[in-house]
Amino acid sequence: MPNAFSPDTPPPALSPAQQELFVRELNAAHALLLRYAMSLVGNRHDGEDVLQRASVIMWRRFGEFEPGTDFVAWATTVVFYEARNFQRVAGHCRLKFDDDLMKTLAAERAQHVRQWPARVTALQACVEKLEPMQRNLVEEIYTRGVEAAELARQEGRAVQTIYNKLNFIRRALAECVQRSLTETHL
Amino acid sequence: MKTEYPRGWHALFNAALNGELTEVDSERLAALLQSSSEARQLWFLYHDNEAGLAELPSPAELIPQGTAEAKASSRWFQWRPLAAAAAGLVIGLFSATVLASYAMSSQEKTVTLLRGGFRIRTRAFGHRRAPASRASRSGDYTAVVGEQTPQGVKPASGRRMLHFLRADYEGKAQPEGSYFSDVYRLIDLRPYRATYGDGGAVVQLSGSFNAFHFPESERYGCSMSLYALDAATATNGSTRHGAELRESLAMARNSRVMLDRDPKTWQRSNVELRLPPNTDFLLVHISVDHANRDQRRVTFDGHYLDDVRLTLGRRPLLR
Repeated sequence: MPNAFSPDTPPPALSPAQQELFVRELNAAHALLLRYAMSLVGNRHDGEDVLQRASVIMWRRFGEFEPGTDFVAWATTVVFYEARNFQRVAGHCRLKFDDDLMKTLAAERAQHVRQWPARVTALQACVEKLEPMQRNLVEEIYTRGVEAAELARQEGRAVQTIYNKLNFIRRALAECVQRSLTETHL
Repeated sequence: MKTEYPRGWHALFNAALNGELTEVDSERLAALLQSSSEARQLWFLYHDNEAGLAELPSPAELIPQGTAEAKASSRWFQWRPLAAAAAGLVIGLFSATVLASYAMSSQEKTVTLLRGGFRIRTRAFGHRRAPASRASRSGDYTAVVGEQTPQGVKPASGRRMLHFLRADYEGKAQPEGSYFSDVYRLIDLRPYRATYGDGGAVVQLSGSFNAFHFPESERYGCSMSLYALDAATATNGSTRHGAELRESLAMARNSRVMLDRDPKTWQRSNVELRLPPNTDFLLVHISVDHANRDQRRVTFDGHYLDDVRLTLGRRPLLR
């Protein structure tokens, strides 16, 4: 792994071809990198934050990337360091992952995450099996981006009630996706 | 990997996702992930699902396989069953945001069919070209993305926008030579026949296009088209083979917009179509293309679409 990446690194003078390559590679890897970041910081919001910071660093350091080599491997390294920095900044992250655990997660996740498309396909089939009320909740929280607290306020419920329902749905989906992948040997 | 896990694992992972971890929980979570490979695999799966749920089509729109036809007439937007789809991020083309804003007199009422900061969504991976049935939508490889900081492209509204990736789709026989990246949506208008059945209604489509800074020698065109189709044409599969122009009852297209090279500016395009009384379905087609012959290629690097709106309104014929 390279040394820690710094956002203070001066921006490179990338050629138009390099700029084009960067955009293409980053866009193609975006969904994978978000998943990778999320598993290191524990939630989507922080994962997006980390990926956004890492993207800027990648842009600044892209001159060091060798075309034809594995962009995902290079990018996940950048995201890893950014996630570790994120964890270290007080108040940024509630997780208490030490360096050993971060490295373990990063090493396993780097391979695991490359199969994410198959898991999305399984997830879609599992979502279809949810009850209508559960699908509505998924739509509010994930598709429309309504915060659980706001939804609770709108419905006159305690936020914990929303969380309890979400927890049940996440567990059901995790088990369903896992069953599906096991059946298809993925 | 097994399929059932201790309840406590799920509780910890959910607490992390909800931002509810206590100090003690956080230490327990770290210890669990450090000690158990299976727990790590489940942790990864939780995060894959969390990301995937935000990328899927509106769950309320998902139709169980085999029931799409039965439900099609009752909804504005229908989705093909996706269980058999190719692997990949699979989300819908247009959102279910339907604002039935009927008001005023019958001469003035308008229905907003689509609207949103970025309420157009599509699959990031593979599917065929034009939709072949009333329950489907289709198009080329695209992705839904947020702000693209290094390139300086921000969504026109909201937090997401559509990124045109390629001019082909999964399974396309000869992708070489393709240089139009297309997205489609087929919309069932029959529940609103009373609005346009006398020929007095117009649909209006608008959307914003943008691109990151591209070479001065290159040119990119944007196109928005509307096709009025009868039910037979919409469902017999002919649109899958590009026959929408020949077999449509009426069509309109605006392909005048050429992208500028400033990623800070969005360029708006509009097109409208008067609906023939026998229209059953509306096919929406939006594309970006390589306008110069010598730049033509199958890939698109930084071309975006956002803020798509589609409205159906009354505009009586002149007598």
